[in-house]
Amino acid sequence: MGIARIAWLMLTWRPLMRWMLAAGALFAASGATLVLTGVSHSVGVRLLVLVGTAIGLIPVTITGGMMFRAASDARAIGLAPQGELRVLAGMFTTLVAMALAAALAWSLVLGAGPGPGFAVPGHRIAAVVFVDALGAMTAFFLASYSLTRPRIPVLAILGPLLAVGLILGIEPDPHFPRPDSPNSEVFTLLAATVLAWLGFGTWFLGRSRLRTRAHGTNTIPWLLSRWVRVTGVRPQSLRIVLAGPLDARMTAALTFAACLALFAFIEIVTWLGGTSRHHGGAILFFLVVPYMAVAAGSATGALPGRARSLWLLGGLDRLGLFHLAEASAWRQFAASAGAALLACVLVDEFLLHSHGTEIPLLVIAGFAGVSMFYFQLFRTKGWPVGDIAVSALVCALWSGGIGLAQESARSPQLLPWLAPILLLDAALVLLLRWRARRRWQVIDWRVCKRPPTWKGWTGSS
Amino acid sequence: MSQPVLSARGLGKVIKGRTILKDVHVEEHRGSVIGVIGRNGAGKTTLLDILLGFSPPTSGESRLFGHDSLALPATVKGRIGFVPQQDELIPMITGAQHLALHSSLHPRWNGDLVARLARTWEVPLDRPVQILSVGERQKLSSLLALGHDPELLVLDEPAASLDPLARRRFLQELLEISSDRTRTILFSTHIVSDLERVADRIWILREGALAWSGDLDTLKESVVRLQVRARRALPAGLALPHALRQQVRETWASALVSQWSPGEVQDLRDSLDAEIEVQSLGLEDLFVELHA
Amino acid sequence: MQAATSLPARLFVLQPSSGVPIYRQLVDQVQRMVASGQLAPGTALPSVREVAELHAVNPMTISKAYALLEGEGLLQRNRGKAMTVAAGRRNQGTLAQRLRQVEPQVEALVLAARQLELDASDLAEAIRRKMGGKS
Repeated sequence: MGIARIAWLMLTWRPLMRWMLAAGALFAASGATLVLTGVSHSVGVRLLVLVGTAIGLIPVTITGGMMFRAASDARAIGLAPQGELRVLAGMFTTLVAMALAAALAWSLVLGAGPGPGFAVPGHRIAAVVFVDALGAMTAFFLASYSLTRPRIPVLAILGPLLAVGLILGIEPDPHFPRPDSPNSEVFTLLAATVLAWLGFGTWFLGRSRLRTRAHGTNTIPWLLSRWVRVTGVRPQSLRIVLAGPLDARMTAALTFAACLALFAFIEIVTWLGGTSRHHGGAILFFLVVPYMAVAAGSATGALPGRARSLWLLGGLDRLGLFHLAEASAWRQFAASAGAALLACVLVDEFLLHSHGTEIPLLVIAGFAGVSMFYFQLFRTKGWPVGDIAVSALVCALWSGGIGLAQESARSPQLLPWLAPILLLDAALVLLLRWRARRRWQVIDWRVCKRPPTWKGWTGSS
Repeated sequence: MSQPVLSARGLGKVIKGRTILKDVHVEEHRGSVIGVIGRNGAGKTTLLDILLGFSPPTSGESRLFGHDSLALPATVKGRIGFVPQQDELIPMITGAQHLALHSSLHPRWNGDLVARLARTWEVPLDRPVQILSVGERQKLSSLLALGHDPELLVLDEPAASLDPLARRRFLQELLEISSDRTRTILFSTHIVSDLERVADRIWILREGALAWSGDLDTLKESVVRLQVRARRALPAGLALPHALRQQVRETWASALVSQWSPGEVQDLRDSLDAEIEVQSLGLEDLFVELHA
Repeated sequence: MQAATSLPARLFVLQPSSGVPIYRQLVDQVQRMVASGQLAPGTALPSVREVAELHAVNPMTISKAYALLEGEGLLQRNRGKAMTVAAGRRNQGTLAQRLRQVEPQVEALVLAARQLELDASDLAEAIRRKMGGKS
């Protein structure tokens, strides 16, 4: 399979990814057209371009590592001549292409003056954005790859890359890149990124494939499986079949530990880079962790599909299964989001002494997570158009809410705007629950399939 | 005994405009071993899913033990064992943990049977499921479905990934547990030779419709191929009785006929003034002929 | 468990994939064995279970065959013990019935003869010679 084809597959493997790519391209293209033809230079239009690019980038950033692992595991890849090299090159190409797209979008939006076309220093902005985007996406890629297969070498490559990025004080603020940052910083980050790729590529191509095959068990799942407690009590068994063997306490403990480890890492790195960067690290922490709470909601995905296993086993009818799934989702969400938010509160109170300015953020993140998992329960029929529209609404609400909450930490006058957003979220949750309940009563498991296992990737050339 | 274990009337299923099943009627009683054969995409898995209540039919109704499939009471569900085509195992836990999990979900659990089968079938119980081979996973899924002594056992392509020896053992076990005639077994497969050994009833699904449902023995005896060699040219519009398909070329004709009885050959020979060779067909040949 | 005179299940040759149903194959084989004297009256037949296990077929089909043979009077059921060949069955039916038994073979023979353009007298001569050579 050609490298270009592999790169394309990485972007479009799942229907949702295709939708997001299409939506992102549409937004970005329309915004770009408006700007380039001089129709409008308003903030809204520019934001359209940025949002479009972000939407297009999100799927491959978040899932790139996992897809790469699935692709590189496929037997056909191993047998094809230079199959692994091609997959690696394909992944790299995808990320570079997306980084270029981001660079294009940003330079267009930020460099455009009153007239059409690029304005100086558009290429300067483009370069900075490209390097930042590529570096960030590489870090995400290595991180998500490590989630599926924790290996010391990969973590050893990821660590320094993250450290370099943080030390250089990357402000993860979507509005302003750093066109004024010195060339040395840009080159350092680029060098770190390239080194990371070289290191990863060497490790990946050089590792013994036989050894990794025999090694079936990953470390993290092994840890998890030690916690499976099948006590002969039926409700516990039902939950395990439905949501997997992850005990709620285990989830909370893992999440809490992950948050503290993240904060510790950021603290160490920012201390190494000088205390003036402290605020940047904290912002990063409070950016990432609420999204973890939201992600905890979406991690209950595929519950409708998985409930199929319990149709004959649990003795429950369809409505009973709905209530079981709902309870299970609440349990998992409460455990992970609760732990994440607790970690935030502790950090906020005792280490940053910002006295609760981050509380609105945490509340919004909580609401967003709940609406996310009710949305997952609601999705029983694949992705009909109506569901896509609803998903856009859900995403808009939570990203808008979180963005607003983050701004409100700096500008408290924005706080009152959070109230209507919370109300909308609550209304959305109730609506989703009502519809989900109706749908579950007639759920058709021939249409609502279990999520595809990674074996589904054949990568045939 | 008189109430059918499973029955379907006028069952139809349409998904996204495509007709998967049309007008399926079946009725099976306790103790039967029913084999469902059909090409890939003929609707076997969909039919099984509808019978078990996983999927609502677009038209018609399906009943298990007298109850509507979509609203099976918990007691009835406890009497069903199902081995799906794609296993629904949890990757991270071991086979033994799966058994413990399933045994906690059923009041009755035959631990001895399960232990014996795990030994005979060579199912590794101490390794996480994700590193088992496809055949081992299939065997484990079958174990999990058998442990609670189900009265109705439904298997969707249960032996597709097993080597011939494992498949033979699996079949023998199926026969063993069905020997007391209290259990009903329904399995879909495309390995026709397995069916011929084990099944006494056959459903043949062709493009979503039931081309045949009945006893296997009756099928073999009543559907035959006739080779006709006449002395004179046969009429072009020749219609052999109950012909499912026929070909006529001058003095030669070949036909697949149903509802055949041996006494008919003499009458046919006389009326056509021809020699007639009656060929009975094995299930695989019958299947191919029906799809030709 | 079995009497010394019982037969091994391996005696029967069953082909599940044949166009002839399994029960029919078994019935035909038992009939021929009884007719040829290979199964003497009083001989115990292998149990349903044994035959089914050895040939890996459904026991129901073996029971069906045995029941049919019992119905025809060829076999007799002994409570608690294996089925045995019924005694005193030297006359196995009228000539017509016996001829019907070999009807399939006659059909095949006639067909082959016609294809090879042999006539009835050639065939009859061949048969006489064959049968004269034996009993």
